[in-house]
Amino acid sequence: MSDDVHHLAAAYTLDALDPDERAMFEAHLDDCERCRVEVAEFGEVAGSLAGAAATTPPPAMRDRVLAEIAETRQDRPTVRHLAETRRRPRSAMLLATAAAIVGLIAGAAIALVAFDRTSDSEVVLSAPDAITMPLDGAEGSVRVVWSSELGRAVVLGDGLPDPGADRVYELWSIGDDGPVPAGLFSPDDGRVQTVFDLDPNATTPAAWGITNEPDGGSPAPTGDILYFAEV
Amino acid sequence: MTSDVGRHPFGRDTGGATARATMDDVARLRILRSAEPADPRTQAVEALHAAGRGDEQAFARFYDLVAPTVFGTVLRVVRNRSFAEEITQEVFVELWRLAPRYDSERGSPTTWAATIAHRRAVDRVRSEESARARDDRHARDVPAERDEVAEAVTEHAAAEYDRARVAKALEQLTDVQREAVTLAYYGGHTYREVASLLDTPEGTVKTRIRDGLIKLRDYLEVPA
Repeated sequence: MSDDVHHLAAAYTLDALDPDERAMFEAHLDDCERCRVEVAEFGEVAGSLAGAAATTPPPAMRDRVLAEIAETRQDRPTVRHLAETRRRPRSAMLLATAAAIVGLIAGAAIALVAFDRTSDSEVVLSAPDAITMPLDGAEGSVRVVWSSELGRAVVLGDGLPDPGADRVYELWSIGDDGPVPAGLFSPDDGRVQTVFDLDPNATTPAAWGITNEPDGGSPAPTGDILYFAEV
Repeated sequence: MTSDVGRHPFGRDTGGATARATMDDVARLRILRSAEPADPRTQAVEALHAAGRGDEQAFARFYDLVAPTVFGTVLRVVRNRSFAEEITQEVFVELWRLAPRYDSERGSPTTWAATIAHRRAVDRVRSEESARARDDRHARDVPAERDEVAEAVTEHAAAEYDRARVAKALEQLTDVQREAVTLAYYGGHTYREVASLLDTPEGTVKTRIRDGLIKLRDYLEVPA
């Protein structure tokens, strides 16, 4: 019977299951990495079959589509906690894959429990206009999630080095007027999840940067950019 | 990029010169990145990521890259041009809505779009069928690989290449495997329907579909 379920991956990928079987198989996918791999592989095959059917659509469709999307709100981006992206232990597979399937919202929610200002972060993470941006940097991983509408940003970090005695990290919202201080943070065991209220004039940055600053922060950066991303 | 960033002098004063230098660097990074040549898949990934941040022009570029695949797939399944146009429009609105959630690690943008398009087409056809019985014999008599409508209107060179490559791959299958796969994918049938159409046990059809896809996967050398 369980073997039967595994053998549904091909038919599932071709959308050739009845609705109840499809639902059953999708539930099974949560628990079965082998089937997830098969679905991904067969999905590429299906993509090739689709490509072979390519047919030029009527030219007028492009304008119709673009007109309609201009009036359509997008879904919120998925936010995954950094610990989830770095290691997904098999023992926690159910948790991790459930999170993966529902767009990793659950992972973020679980992470939130462990940190300060939970409800505030949640508000930002679930804002309709929230944008998630991983920052490039040498050690650990950091991403900034921000909502221009709320004027708030959340820094999510994992594996970050200690900033040093009497030192903190400072987040910068970098716009046309240069870097504007966005907030200070110190990781706890390498991790951070902190909400910042942004300067009203710096809620739509062109880039984000993080520097190491003396305790209390600096009005302008004094150190190298340790983490950086263009929006 | 990381090492560049690490050495980036942010400056010690608060003057405008510092700010300008920072923005110059941002502009430089942007230029460097845009100067790199990009293959169609990379182009599609970049366009889709930008579309995910609400960039409508980027979505237009994404549309240009994947629209033939989306429309062609839908047309194959529904076999009616105006119905296919209606569904394709719905699919692109859904792709726009879902763009912020696209994860490039889970597949190419084309595959992602094709997956959503095929699912939508199949679901629409099946819900239509619940109201109006479908002419199954038609789907059986017109094998998908000889769909004249699709062949007549395609002009894309890349599509011709894909078509030839997939046709070659389909040749590797036994006749019964190919029949099961094409009836399921292009015909939009469930494996149970395929079994009924072919008057063959369901388990046999399931196995043919599976073995067929494995052969196609291996022949097309789809990376894991």
